[in-house]
Amino acid sequence: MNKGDISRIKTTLLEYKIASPRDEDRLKTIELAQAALERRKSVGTPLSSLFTTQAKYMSKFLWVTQILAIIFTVMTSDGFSTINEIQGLIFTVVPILTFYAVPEVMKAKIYGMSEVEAVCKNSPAKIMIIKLIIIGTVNIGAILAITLFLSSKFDVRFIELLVYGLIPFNIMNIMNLLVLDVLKLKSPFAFLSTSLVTTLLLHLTRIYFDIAQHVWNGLFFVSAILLIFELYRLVITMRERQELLIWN
Amino acid sequence: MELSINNVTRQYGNKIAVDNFSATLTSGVYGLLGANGAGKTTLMRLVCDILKPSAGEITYGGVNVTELGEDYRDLLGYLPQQFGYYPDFSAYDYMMYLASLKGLDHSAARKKTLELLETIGLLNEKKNKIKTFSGGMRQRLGIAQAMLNDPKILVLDEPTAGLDPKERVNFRNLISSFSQDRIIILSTHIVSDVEYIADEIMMMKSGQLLSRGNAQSIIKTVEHSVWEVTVSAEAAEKINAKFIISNLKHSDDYVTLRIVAENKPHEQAVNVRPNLEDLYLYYFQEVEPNDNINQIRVD
Repeated sequence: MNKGDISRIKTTLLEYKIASPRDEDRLKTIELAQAALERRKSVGTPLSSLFTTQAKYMSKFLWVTQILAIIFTVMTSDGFSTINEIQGLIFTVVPILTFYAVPEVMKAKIYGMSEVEAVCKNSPAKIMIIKLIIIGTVNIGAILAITLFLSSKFDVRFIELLVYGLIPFNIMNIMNLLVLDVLKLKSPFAFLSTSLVTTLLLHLTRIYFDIAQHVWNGLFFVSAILLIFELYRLVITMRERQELLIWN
Repeated sequence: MELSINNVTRQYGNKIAVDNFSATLTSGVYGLLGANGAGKTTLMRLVCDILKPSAGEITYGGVNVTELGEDYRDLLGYLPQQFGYYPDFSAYDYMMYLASLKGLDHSAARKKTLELLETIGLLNEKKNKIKTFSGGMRQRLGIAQAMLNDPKILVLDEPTAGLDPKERVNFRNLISSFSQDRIIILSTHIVSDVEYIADEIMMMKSGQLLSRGNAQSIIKTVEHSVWEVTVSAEAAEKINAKFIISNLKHSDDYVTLRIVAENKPHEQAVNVRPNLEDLYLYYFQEVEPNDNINQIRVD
């Protein structure tokens, strides 16, 4: 195509007359475009962003208790030699780890933020699941670190110690969830008191530590099922929006 | 887009909080007026999909809001009547935290947070803990958080509670500038707020929509039911016991009463132009002696 051809095409195009659209057609096009814009699929929040934000805004006490519990284990375990003493240590340290678990998961309810958070794009149920994953991972990570340290130091089976560690973990969380769910208490002091009393009770149960391993395993499964059931109930009721703490 | 409330009823046990309420809302500011217990807060929670209706449905653009789920909440801003805050949060943390729940990315959240904090006059306080704030400051922060996601539907339950007169004027201006192409529903006991801001007023009583319209048209319904009379203090006491008094003014030995009544309350009473306060009293106040009348001197 030479320059003359291009010039001829340009001239033809410039001379080509297009009929002006009718006003009603123009308005209809605008309306349709507007409707399409409003129907746009909203972009979901990336999960990674939700996880980092939730972790960022969690109470610093949650992180501090994990570190303190691990330091406490390392520093006090030197004088122990019998399995009962190790069990006693685990039953004291693990409850401390979980002090801030339920209060942190249920923070919105405790501090009256439920209603504001309920209308946010990311649903309270989704946020609660994210919090459960973060706190559960942090707690279980700390329990793993403690039991790994103790099993290597005292030459006790790791799984055996892990079961001892997970039982108080389950019991503490069940107790705090029951305080919230059954007694409808939402003060941070109620959780703290429950945690302290449960810790004390668990510590006192050391007199029963001689029970057979399969009973420990049974206790672990029962407490784990109860905890899973309670958590499931919590998420479901929150998803159905029946469990919001609403004033008046 | 239209927000339709179709025959919505919400029941708590035997108590009906919202009773067969229907309304279609397009862009504009709607003032919800009603006495305590009229069902305003329940209606707002239903609109926000926090509560589920016992009967009926609420739709946006023809789709049930519960089905819309996240997409609906993305369009929604809400200020509850009472709201809490995390004790360790500053104003900035509070806004950024809620912005993240509303799905704003970090840079957009930061920009919007600073912009709104400046609008509500809390930019210099952004690093201060909310627990150190006055009631008015907290209320302003609550209003700001509701606007974080540029909502298409803004629901404000008693937004002017705790605000001083200057803050209330600022709030009205803020809402006016924000209202274009949005549905704004606000409830308040402060009648003048509704009068100034709302394009339409919805009167609610016992969970039902009593009437709806702009201030002028709605006031018309009590056009012949507001009276004024100047009488002696003794006669004023008698009138007060029988009728709804919307205002009283002392002058020497006489008292000028503004009375809301269907029929002429006194032979010298003259019909006067009603206002929204008269209308409110007409619908929501039972006859009960006005305490201020005790201050009338009876010689």
